[in-house]
Amino acid sequence: MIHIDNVRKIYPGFELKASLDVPTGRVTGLVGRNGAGKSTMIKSILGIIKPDGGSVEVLGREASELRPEDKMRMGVALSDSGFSGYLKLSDIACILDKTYSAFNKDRFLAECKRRGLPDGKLIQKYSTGMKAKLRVLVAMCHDAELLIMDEPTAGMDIVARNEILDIIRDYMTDSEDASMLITSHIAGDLESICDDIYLIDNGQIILHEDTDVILSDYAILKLDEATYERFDKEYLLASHKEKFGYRCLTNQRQFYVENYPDAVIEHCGIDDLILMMTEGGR
Amino acid sequence: MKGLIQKDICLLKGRMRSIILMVAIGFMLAFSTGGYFVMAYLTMIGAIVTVGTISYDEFDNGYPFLMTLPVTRRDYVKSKFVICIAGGCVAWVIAFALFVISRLVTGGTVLMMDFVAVLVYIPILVFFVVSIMLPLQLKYGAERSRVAMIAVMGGMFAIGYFGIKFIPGMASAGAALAGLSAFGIVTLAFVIGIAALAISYPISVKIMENKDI
Repeated sequence: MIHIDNVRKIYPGFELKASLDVPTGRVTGLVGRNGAGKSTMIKSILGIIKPDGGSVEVLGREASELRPEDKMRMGVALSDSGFSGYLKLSDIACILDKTYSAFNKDRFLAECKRRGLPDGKLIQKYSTGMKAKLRVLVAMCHDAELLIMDEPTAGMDIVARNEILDIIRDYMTDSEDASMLITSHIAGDLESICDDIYLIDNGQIILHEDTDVILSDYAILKLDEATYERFDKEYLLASHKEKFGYRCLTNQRQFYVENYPDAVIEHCGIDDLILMMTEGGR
Repeated sequence: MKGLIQKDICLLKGRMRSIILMVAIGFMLAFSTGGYFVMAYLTMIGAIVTVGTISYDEFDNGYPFLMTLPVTRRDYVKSKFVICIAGGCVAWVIAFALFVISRLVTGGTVLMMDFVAVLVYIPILVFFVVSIMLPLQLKYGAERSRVAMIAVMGGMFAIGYFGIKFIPGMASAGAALAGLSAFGIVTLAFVIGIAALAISYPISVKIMENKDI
């Protein structure tokens, strides 16, 4: 569905240079800290910015040449952009009705009502959570084959975040062939919905792994200095000096469990992964 | 593109109170000035209000999302030209109705030839203003385009003023224009209005296609 081959985009003080694939029927997460390059990747995929090199193919077509028919098959929710706040829910339903051939106005309005989005109120008066819910529902309103969600849970409390994730999960369960690329800097949100995760830092993909593998094979090792010195470091991906000694990341949890039964070995979440693999953990 | 036009209609609906206020001012003008001014005033207001829908799209960084809808940047520009010209035309019809009502009530006389000329060249003036305002607003945004618009108008005035003074033949061309019949002026205005649209549209498309959104 999406094939990015060595795309490059240069801004003053920042260079994106990355490759990424989203196959049919998969949910792919793109995680990284703020400013890592996630939104630049998304904008390249949507053809909003022109890359300086490489290629970005979406639905078999170069992103810059996407036709309205191709966009008809895509649903997009951007974190910092949406319909004007001076519109109401019923206005948006009318606009979508004239925009997407597969749009079902009654179903959309019923779904919005079920999710607690009031009509008759300007969108700008909605809470942050309501606006985010609306953006996600708009992206899903026309049975898109490819969903692109840029930070759909940004700036929300845990309850609102879970609600958004539930909406996404329901959609992906109902539409088995649909694919999704979702970005977040709250990686924990993605653990339960993504099949695979790309980790981006400073414009470069520094890790790509299946979520299951991350959760089962990756681990955080906490070692004092003496243990660290005699430790087999072959399978360590990153090591950070801490007050107590060293904090290390491995993708061979079982190896260390079997060979170093005394070591403190903890499960690794995606947030730990970001912290260990990016400059933030150093 | 239908969706984009629907969006602009919804945005204009949201401004209905201020639009009604402007029409009310037009109504008063129709009776107080009793002339053609109300037609020019309301028609221009119609065009300016519709061009203003661009600032709603800019507000809160709306462009990136709009461009993810199944439309091209060319469609976006096309929708703006359609809504602005349609807005000007609707305003012109309202203005014309007000003008006729005021004349019927006050019993004022109308010179037929002047009347036809005003009736035709005011919408053409809308074409001309839309042709200038749309690319400026797309290029510079709502705030800076106002300054750019003043600069363009000033530039056009300067070209006219200094052209007549310093370019041989321009003064005589101006005199020839002044000597044209009402029909001649309307035809010329029509040609200039259409030419302005024909030039402005591809420029606007180019601006939008190169715009960093």
